[in-house]
Amino acid sequence: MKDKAGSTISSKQLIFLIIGSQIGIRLLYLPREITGIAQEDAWLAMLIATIVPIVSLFLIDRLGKRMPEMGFTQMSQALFGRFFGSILIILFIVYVIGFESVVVRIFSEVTKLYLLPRTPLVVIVFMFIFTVVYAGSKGARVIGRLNELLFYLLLVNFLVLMIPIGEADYTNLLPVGEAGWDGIGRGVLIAAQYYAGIEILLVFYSLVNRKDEILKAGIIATGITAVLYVVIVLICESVFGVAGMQHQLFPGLVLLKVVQIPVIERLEFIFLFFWMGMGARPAINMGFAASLSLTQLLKLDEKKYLPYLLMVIGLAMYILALLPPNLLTVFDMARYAGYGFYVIGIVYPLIYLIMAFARGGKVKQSA
Amino acid sequence: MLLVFIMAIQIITLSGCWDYRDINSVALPQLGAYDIHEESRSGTSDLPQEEKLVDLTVVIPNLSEEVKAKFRIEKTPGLLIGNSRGQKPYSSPGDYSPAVASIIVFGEDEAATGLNKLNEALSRGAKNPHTVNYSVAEGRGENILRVPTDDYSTMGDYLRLLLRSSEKRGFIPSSTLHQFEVDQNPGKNPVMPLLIIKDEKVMVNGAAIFNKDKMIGKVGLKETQYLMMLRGIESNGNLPYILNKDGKIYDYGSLSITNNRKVTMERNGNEFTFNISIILEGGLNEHSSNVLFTQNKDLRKEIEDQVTSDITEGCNKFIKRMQEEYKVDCIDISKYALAKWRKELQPTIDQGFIENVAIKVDVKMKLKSIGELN
Repeated sequence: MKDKAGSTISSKQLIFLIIGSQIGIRLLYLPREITGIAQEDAWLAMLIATIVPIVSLFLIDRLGKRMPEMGFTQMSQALFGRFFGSILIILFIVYVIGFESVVVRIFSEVTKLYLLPRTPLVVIVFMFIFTVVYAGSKGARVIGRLNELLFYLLLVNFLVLMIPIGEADYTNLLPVGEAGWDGIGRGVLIAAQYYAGIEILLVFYSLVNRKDEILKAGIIATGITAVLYVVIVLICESVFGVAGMQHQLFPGLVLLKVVQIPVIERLEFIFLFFWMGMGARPAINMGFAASLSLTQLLKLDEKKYLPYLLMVIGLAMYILALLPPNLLTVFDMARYAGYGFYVIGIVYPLIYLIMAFARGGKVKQSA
Repeated sequence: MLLVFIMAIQIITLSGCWDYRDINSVALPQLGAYDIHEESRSGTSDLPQEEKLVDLTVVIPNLSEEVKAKFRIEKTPGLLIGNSRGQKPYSSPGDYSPAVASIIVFGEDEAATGLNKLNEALSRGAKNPHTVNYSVAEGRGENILRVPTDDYSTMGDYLRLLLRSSEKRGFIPSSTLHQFEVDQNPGKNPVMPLLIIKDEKVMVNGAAIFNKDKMIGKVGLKETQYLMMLRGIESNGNLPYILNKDGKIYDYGSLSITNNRKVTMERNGNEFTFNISIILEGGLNEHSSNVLFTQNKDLRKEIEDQVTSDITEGCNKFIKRMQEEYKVDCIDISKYALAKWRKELQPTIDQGFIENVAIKVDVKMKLKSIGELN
């Protein structure tokens, strides 16, 4: 299967790919969600929550090391048989479609709210899905490069998000630990969902050149994501205060409306202009992963049929993204989709690994 | 490939079809005033007496060069601000977009009824900047808008220069929508510059004190100075001093001052003590006597001591008034207690906390420069 779906990727590109799958539109509202539970200790919850993606990474790496040349589809069918393996693959694809349709919808809502208020939502969602399908159809190597390029833009955007730090009040972060283990623990459960994207490694593991560098690359990627997440939570908390932040749907974006910079009157529009790519990126990565799995499941020629299956997945995302009647329902859906991460990111690799141990040499034979 | 290219071009241009607007047809208010609607104030409006309508008055620059007037003033009533804006199509052509509004002036009566309901339209509208400057007018806000401004294009231009970053030019608090929102958090309360009309000119005459979103008092320029120092709003301002000896004035002058604040606190059971340290630094602008600083080495210290004494006395008077009259924390110190005991104090921090704490003020003045003259 190597070199079919747009070739292989380097471990450096894997870092950008994981970051690109984790950080998207959710960065703009996660401070509200986490502070709503863990209060002033939201940043602490965000930090502790990195354990979850690291565990997921470790499990996938262990699994991949046992079957390094097998793709997600072959691995599933080799471990669970054709029938149950196919069901697991389909569930993965359904998860990706569900999760990313929520991402696309939220990003489209933000675009409509701030940039294109009169453009119908169906057009905006279509624009995003079109980008997802087009970029995804170019294969893993192009996706890797796209993620690399967008990573540098992310850093620029992140520096922009630091500008309101002059409005920060450190007392809003204190006292530390007052939410208690209960508050911090519940915060961690929610915060961990924002690291969803690491599970893309289930599909991309076999496409990475240097398998020995995957664990290191994953840790670096999750580390970078964690730093960005913790910093954005700290900035939002210190600028708005916990109580004030609950009034904002997208505190990460409103952050840019509280400062005025000469010449650039409206910082948030500049930010959103660059964030466009960032918003579509998780959907591009995950959409590609899902269509690759579907192509392999249907035993089709990847080079020929992957773009068509990506269109099918894109269409499913498009329909699903337009189903919720309003943004509040989408936020509810996002929460459920977040729990799906625990299933795909933790339970999946765990049961795969258990099955791989249980079946031992038989797997290698069937491979 | 060609098909993809054509599709991409179509998609990119598609959004422009809906959101295209001719800039000349857009009404972009620079400045707005929010007042209680005059009829509902006098009880003659159709609305129930307890619900007062709001008057939205705006200054809109005329973008066309062909018209005589540089700007127009429009006034519409409504239930709230969004509703007032909604009345504009009946009397004003073009799309109304408050995206570039930079100043809001609240009428005194309106400010006393509570501003959160009026803030809604500003905060909820994604296009509105949160850097819009807030101020309160003595009397009606719309009167401020109607004062002629011969030296500026519009009153909006004048007020923007007067109020934006005003603390850098004097002891004048500048308040924005964002700061107002943050000051709705537990333990905090906003302050805003107070505008008056004097000799057909709009000027700052102190500060409006708020209990959360309701204006509860106003202070003059001198007290505003103490308020700024106690609140820790770093400013650049001018301070006069007068030196007396044996009941006679022997020197007076003024200083350019910057201020800074440090707060520590102690707790003993339910007794809280806040220690506010105000650090003033600055230079001498002028003084009346011919005494040379090299000849009278004590003069520098005497000026420092006098300023220290004046500011300490003024701050203590302000604290007394705050605790006995306003009964709200307008000097932003409750946050230090919350930073230590948030869970315990937050539910009651805005009810009876600030009145019952001890606040000690320690002023330190450093005259760093005497300028070019001896």
